[in-house]
Amino acid sequence: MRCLIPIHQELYPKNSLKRAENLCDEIVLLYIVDKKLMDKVQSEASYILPSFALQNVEEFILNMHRQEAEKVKKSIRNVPVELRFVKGEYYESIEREILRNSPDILMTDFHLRGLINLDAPVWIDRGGEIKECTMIVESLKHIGRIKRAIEFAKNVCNRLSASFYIYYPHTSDREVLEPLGKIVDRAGGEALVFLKEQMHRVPEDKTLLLI
Amino acid sequence: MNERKAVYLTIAFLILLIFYFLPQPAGLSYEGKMMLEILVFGAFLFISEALPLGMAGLLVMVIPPILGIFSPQEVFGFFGNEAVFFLIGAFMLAAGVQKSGLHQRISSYILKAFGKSSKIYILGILVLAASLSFIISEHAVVALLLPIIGISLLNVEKGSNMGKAGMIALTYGATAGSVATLMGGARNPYTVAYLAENYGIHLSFLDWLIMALPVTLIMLPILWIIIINVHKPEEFIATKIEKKGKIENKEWIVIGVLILTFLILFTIRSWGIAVAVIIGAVLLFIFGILSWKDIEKSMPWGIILLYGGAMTLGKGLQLTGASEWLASSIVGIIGTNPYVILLILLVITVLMTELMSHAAAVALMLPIAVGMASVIGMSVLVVSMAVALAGGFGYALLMGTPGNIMTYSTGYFKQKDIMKTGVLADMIGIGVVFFMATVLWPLMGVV
Repeated sequence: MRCLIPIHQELYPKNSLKRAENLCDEIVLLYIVDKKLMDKVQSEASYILPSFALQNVEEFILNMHRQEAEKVKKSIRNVPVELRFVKGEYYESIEREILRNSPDILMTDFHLRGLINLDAPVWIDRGGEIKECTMIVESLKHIGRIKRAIEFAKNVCNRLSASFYIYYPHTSDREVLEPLGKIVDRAGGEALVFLKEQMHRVPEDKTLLLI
Repeated sequence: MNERKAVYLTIAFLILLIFYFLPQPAGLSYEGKMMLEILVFGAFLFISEALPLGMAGLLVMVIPPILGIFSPQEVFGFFGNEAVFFLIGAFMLAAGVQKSGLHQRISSYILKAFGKSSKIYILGILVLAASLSFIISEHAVVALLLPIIGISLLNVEKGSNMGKAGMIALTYGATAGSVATLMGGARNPYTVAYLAENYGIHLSFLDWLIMALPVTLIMLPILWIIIINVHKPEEFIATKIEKKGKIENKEWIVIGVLILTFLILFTIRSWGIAVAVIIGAVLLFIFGILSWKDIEKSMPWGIILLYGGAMTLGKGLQLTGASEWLASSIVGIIGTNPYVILLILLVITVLMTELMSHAAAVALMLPIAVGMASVIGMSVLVVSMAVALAGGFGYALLMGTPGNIMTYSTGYFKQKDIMKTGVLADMIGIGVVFFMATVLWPLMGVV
């Protein structure tokens, strides 16, 4: 499994980085230096700092982040890692990387609204041992894609030797899901894999949006 | 210009338009009303950053002649002030320090002396940044020290407490040191010029130092205690900073020039504040430390132009009677208790510095604060100094000072980390300035 792990200074996915060594066959580390922040440094400091000082500051900051990115890469020993260092906006950089690299899954520790619009499955890791995975199915509208998503989620959970459950909030049509996994009444479990209603936005031939 | 900034700029001009058609308040002249509208217009521009601050300063300067409040000669005359030339000279001296590498030597001495343990090292960073801010603008200090402190923390993990404490100490040290001398921040010479131009109060470099240095000396240990208790730094091994050899000739020259400059500033009061720094800058040029190209590169015109806008606001509000009218109106609402008024002024000033540039905040607050002091019979000097010093804070938010943003962008700490220490530091800072204004300065005979 090819995993994409975005890293940002406010969003350092400590749990995902740990987990990825057991879960992934290949890791793409996407280290994002926030362009908005660098622009802010420029705009805040430019009226007071001489131009040479400002340029030195930016170069130094980028260098520090480069070194940090290399450090993170070296900390992953058991899986091949490709490091991508970019200066850009968080979601835009991830979207670009998904287009470029078509990862099987995106791993992060943070439940962010913007992730639901990404064209890739998203794994949100809250750390600790994972005994249960629960996939939340909100609608059976696109049953073909849901089945594929469930297979994918099951595979991921199997790799972690965790039990797999499906959470479906409606009382009707539950029999459609029963052969695919054990249905629970309440969502629970450490790793949450759940299907958002936005899934209809995802094109048929792409992987499903899981969050 | 992006869409957001265009909207802000439109709102700023709408503010001008709306104020223009508002009825004339009783007791306020047309010119006074117009100056108040320029105050609101300027405040909005400074907070929204619809325009770069220097450009906003220029705009504030050209509106009074357009509205017929002052003649162009009068407005541009506000700019011709010794504080402007002090700023220019101080930036040149700072460029000389930077070019000679003297700041690196000072850094290696201080960091080595404080390198006993991680907690003492944090104190060393605070002391280093504060000391350099006595001679170089606080933001430039952070920019110059960022690579030095960054390299010394190379062995430290991102997200570790030592990394957080080290980077926060860098920006806090520069902020705390910047209030002590006139060279630390542009708001300081602005305050001196404001008092001289409008009230005939002439503060020398030494007068400022005597009144302001205690604030830095009190704040430094407090900031240290806050930082090491909130972000308990782990023990670490500092990456060795490249050891410098013997002091080079160019460093001796800069040291000599700085000593001469400070001697003149301390002893020849009649020369004011600008003559000494200009002499120092010229000497650096004569001795070949600085070339004209260095001077061109080292001049942050933004802050100098912002100064023009600040002087226009300050002088304009005072001459038209607008600051007194506004102060009387506010006093009518909040009462005349001088302690309450001072505390409110300090809190508002600190809140403003968290949201906009220090210089802009002081430029906006000073005319109102001094107006209130006059109305209730408080010492104009005490209130001005208190506002100017409080205007140097900005510990809590990233936008509080460019130093906060620069250190944050290294990735060593998160926004919530600086908030934790900063809110406390701001509150204690207000308390310290309040104590100075109500206890220490009166004991020192400042009235």
